[in-house]
Amino acid sequence: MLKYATSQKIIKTFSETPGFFIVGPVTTTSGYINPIYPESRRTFSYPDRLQIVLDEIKKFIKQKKIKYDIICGGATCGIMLSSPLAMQLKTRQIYVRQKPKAGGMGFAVEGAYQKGERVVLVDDATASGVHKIDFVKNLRKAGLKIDWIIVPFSRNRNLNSDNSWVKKAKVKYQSFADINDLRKYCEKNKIITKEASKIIGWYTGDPLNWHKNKEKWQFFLEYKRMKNRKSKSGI
Amino acid sequence: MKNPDERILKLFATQKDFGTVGPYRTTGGWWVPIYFDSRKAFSEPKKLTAFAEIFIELIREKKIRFDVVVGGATAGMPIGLAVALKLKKPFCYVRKQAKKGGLCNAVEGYYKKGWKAILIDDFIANGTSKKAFIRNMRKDGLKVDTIIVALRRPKKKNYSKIRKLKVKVYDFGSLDDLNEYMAKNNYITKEAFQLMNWYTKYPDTWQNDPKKMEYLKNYKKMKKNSKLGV
Repeated sequence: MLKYATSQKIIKTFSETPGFFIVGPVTTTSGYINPIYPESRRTFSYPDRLQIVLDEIKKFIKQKKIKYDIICGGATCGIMLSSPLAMQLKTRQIYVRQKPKAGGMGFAVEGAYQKGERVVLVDDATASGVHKIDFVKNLRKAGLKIDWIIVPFSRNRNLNSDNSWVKKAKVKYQSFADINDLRKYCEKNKIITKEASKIIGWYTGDPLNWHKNKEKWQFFLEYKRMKNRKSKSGI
Repeated sequence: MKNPDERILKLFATQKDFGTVGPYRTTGGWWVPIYFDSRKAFSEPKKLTAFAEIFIELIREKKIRFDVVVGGATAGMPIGLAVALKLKKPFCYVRKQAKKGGLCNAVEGYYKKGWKAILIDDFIANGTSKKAFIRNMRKDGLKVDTIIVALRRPKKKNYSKIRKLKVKVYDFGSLDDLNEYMAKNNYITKEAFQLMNWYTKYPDTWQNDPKKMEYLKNYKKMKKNSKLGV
């Protein structure tokens, strides 16, 4: 089992972003029913919060002595991180789509690059990893070398158990937190209620099936009806 | 501020492998003889910084006030981010269509209803994408009446698709200006210039003229003595 070095700074930055959690249910692009949805884009919108995340990624790249010619963002949200990261590392930036653009030149990889160049892929988060596999495939098809994927946090389950896709994609992977880290931090610091934490826990434990349990779903519906939730974020 | 702004034209013209000889079919179904890939210029950190500085000059000169920079997904995001971070303003991006799945947002990121936004993108053609962006931004509660793009496709600024939306579009020159600049300074050959001229004048019909296609055929075979090799 892989071990990831979690970042307290990133956990804190996400957790303390106003409006980070949104009460759903939200059906994710991966098809999960997410009761309380983490919205990381809100963190990346703030220049100062974005900088904290970027600094942690930069530190990691330096520590691991990762070699690269280009920083690549996963379209679309990953560009919020990859673009400023590349600027600060004074390196070229490109981005990759899951599917080649329909029409036009039909590029899956956009920007200036040469075959054989080494790429670090940066994205906003990971859920099931299917998007990452597409990104990696498209980058390799374009003749680029990719062996590192870095994301600030993992959206589902447990960071250390949810990485079967990493092997499949033949990459090295770093995530600085999982949703349980955020949930625990938020509960401890009374950013979210105990009820919300419980529900998020169910979801992360079994994102595909949690909502099929009647008691859990009922609990969630009651939670949704709760007025004046006693937490800093009202979640 | 001059229009065209030669600094912007130069940033594109000096981009390595900027032009690729086609013909290629565009998203709009047109045949373009030589494809100039503007996204490449936004790849380079020095160039992107320079683009952002020129955009910011314009923002200051026109005294444009705003709370949030919104980048047009996807090509407008790097330049939008560079402008936002230099001015220490929040950044969001906007899609043409709301996302299917997740929160189904069109505008992504942190903003408050009623905030004043500027929309930043790489290009404007006839305004179809911009119309979708502006509508989505307004639907999500942002105020927006300013668009800034690097270049415009049409010679004249008549964007039929967005006339009713009451937005002001700022650009730094047209595609024709860029072609002229590149030909004048020997970035591209005279023949490439001729072909691009036909394309910009008759984007949907030039390829039907056998003489013009013959010209393209000869052009493809000839040795190209220009800085960009096209």
